[in-house]
Amino acid sequence: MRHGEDRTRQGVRERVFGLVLVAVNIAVFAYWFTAYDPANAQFIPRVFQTSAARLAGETTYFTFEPGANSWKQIRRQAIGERPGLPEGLEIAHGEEDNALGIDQRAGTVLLFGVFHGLFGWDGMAIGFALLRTVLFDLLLFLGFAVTRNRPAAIAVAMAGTFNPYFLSMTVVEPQTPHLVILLGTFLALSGGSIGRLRWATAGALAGLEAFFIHPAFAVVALVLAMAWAWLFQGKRRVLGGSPAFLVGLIVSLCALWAWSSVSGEVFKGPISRIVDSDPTPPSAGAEGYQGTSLTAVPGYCDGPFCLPDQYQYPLPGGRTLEFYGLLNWPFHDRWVRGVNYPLPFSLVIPSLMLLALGWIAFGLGVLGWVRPPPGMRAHGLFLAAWFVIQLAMLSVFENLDPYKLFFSLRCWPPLLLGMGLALARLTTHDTRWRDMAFVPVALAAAWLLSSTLVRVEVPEDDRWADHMRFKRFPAQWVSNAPGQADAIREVFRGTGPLPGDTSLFFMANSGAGSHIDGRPINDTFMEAAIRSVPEEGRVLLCTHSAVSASAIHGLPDRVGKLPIPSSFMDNAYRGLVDRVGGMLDRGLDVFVIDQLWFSCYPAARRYFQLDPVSSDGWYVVYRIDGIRGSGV
Amino acid sequence: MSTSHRTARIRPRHLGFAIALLVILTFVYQPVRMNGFESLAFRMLRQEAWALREKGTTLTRAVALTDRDYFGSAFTGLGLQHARRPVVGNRWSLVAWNEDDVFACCVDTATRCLRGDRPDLENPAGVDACGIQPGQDDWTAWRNSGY
Repeated sequence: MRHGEDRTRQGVRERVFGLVLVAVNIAVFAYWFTAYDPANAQFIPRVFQTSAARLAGETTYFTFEPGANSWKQIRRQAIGERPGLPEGLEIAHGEEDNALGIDQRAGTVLLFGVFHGLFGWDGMAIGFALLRTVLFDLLLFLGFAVTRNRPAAIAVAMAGTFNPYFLSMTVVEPQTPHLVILLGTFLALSGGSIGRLRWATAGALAGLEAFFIHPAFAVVALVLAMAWAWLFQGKRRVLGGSPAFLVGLIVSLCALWAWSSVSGEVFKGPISRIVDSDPTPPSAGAEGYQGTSLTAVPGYCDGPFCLPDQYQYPLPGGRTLEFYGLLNWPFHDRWVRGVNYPLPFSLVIPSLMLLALGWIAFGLGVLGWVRPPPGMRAHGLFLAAWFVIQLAMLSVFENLDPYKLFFSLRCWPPLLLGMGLALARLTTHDTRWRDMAFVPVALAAAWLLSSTLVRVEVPEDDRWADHMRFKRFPAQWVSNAPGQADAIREVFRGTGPLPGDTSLFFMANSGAGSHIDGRPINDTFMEAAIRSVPEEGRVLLCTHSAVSASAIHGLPDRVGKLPIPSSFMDNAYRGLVDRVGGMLDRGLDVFVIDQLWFSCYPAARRYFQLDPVSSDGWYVVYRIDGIRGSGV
Repeated sequence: MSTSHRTARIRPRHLGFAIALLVILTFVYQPVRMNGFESLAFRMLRQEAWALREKGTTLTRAVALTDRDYFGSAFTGLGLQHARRPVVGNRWSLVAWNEDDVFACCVDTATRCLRGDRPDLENPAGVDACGIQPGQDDWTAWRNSGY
């Protein structure tokens, strides 16, 4: 009888818990749904949104290419696809190098393509909110699986999805899907004895990682997942479950292979493309700083400006790593920082985490690694190793812009789970005052760490001095760099016991000309150019970055504009071809205002055999067809 | 008696629960903090500008007066120019215009967006709706922004 009552009570508790969880999920979803920012004109959301929309069948002037392993392949794809290329226009020799290139993994685009297909543009907000809600649940369940402690699990979920840094990321980005897949894999492998289906599910999820992050990181995630399984299942069960895990993994990878066969997506080289599947540059964020634009190739020259060849990095054994970007120590001969940063990236990541979590949560996270609950020392060590491995993999890159700091989110779960372990140890019947004594020690350590980090002085990377972009835009990259570095250091100085203000790192980048780029939009010349365009004329802007996208939006309608939904270069490139061709067909006069010399300039020149009417700074004006009115 | 005594005693785990509660509440509070005046004003101004653009109103020039330089990027992202001037007081303003229309929005501490119909750009009183007045620092900043 008593046993029956207990079961009834437990059933009631479970139902109540289920209802509360549903209510919390609705609240979390509602928050993120309303927080989603459709107005964000930054690079990353535009890449995903326009790519996903195109995948869902909508016409965008953005070429979806889920990656390619070489410029030759990109070129082939460019020539082979030619969507909307006006008849009679041929891609001139050499231009295909500039034609396109998208540096994101297919997974996020595919995922949001589904949401777009189902719900249109609203699908972006729905998918965004849904993924973040799932992430909240995964952290909650994973936190509980690790700690068996409800307050600790709730703290893990809250700190993971409601810290100010994550809260400021109100756009579609690739890290949340990645974390959902990763933590889903871990959750499937957690708990007691698990069946074959869960092993297979975990394997399939581990394979899916390769859709979302670079294979180098996916392999690391796979190794971590197996280590996690070892911790929770033990050697015997791991060996027993491995066949099912492998089946799931193989099925998943076969799907990736099938997709690759269709789309050209392939596994990239090992270390030279270690971050998130860029076909050439080291990261999506680095090209802007380093001149390693996606549409530029090593040695590419336009006029006096040439991109550098690949940098050479000596490797042990006399070998050389050719890498199209700036790497830090140990590939470089000394430890340096990018000029726009106060610290090397390896220190920026923990500084940001300290800022966003505060000393308390951060200190507890480290405490959990060092002093987990009794019998969980291996778990603590595993979490610490997880953090260090991810940090080490990201640390060799230099000068990822603040926007791309979201790569560092993959370092967060081990620290959050460490915090869960610490809280679990502090909230049990066996908790002793001695355990509690370590809390102020952990807080002091976190305070000491953040105080030290803001005082660290690391020399600037002098390789920038020879960099093309550095020379080409000294006002942008030289004069503003110290300001940005100082601003970031100043924000880090504000680190305290509770979460601080991290909006500088993401929300601030929600438009063009952010603090990184203090250069005001040069609309003076552009407006002069527009005024010179005859009333019946049309103006096309050839865009590359959000800066120029914003300029498009600022154009008066009377002049006409190229309504590019993306700010990405190949979009503009295709748009240029399409729209110019269409306008020529209609007998309209067409002017092209070109912002980037190494993209549209050769495009216009080679497509239309044109020379610019005028050139001043950022903008170049071309006359394309029968001219009425005077040029600029 | 002894039970009552044990109940009243503070144990380490009570302190542990307090710490856990502090952590949880800290992060429960973050969305609230992130949606505080500053962020709300920021988002409201952006949404207003975005809404105008969606309606087809093309704003060629605009000045967003905020006390945070980097928030200005949000407006430049929408094709607006940011004044990059600090304002005194807890008031953020956005004044944007093209040849035909002038849009002015000032977010006050009640996070209301007050609009002006067509303020005379040469006449500061024209943007009264935003409370921008001659002599005030924010007005000076607006004028000095090179609109």
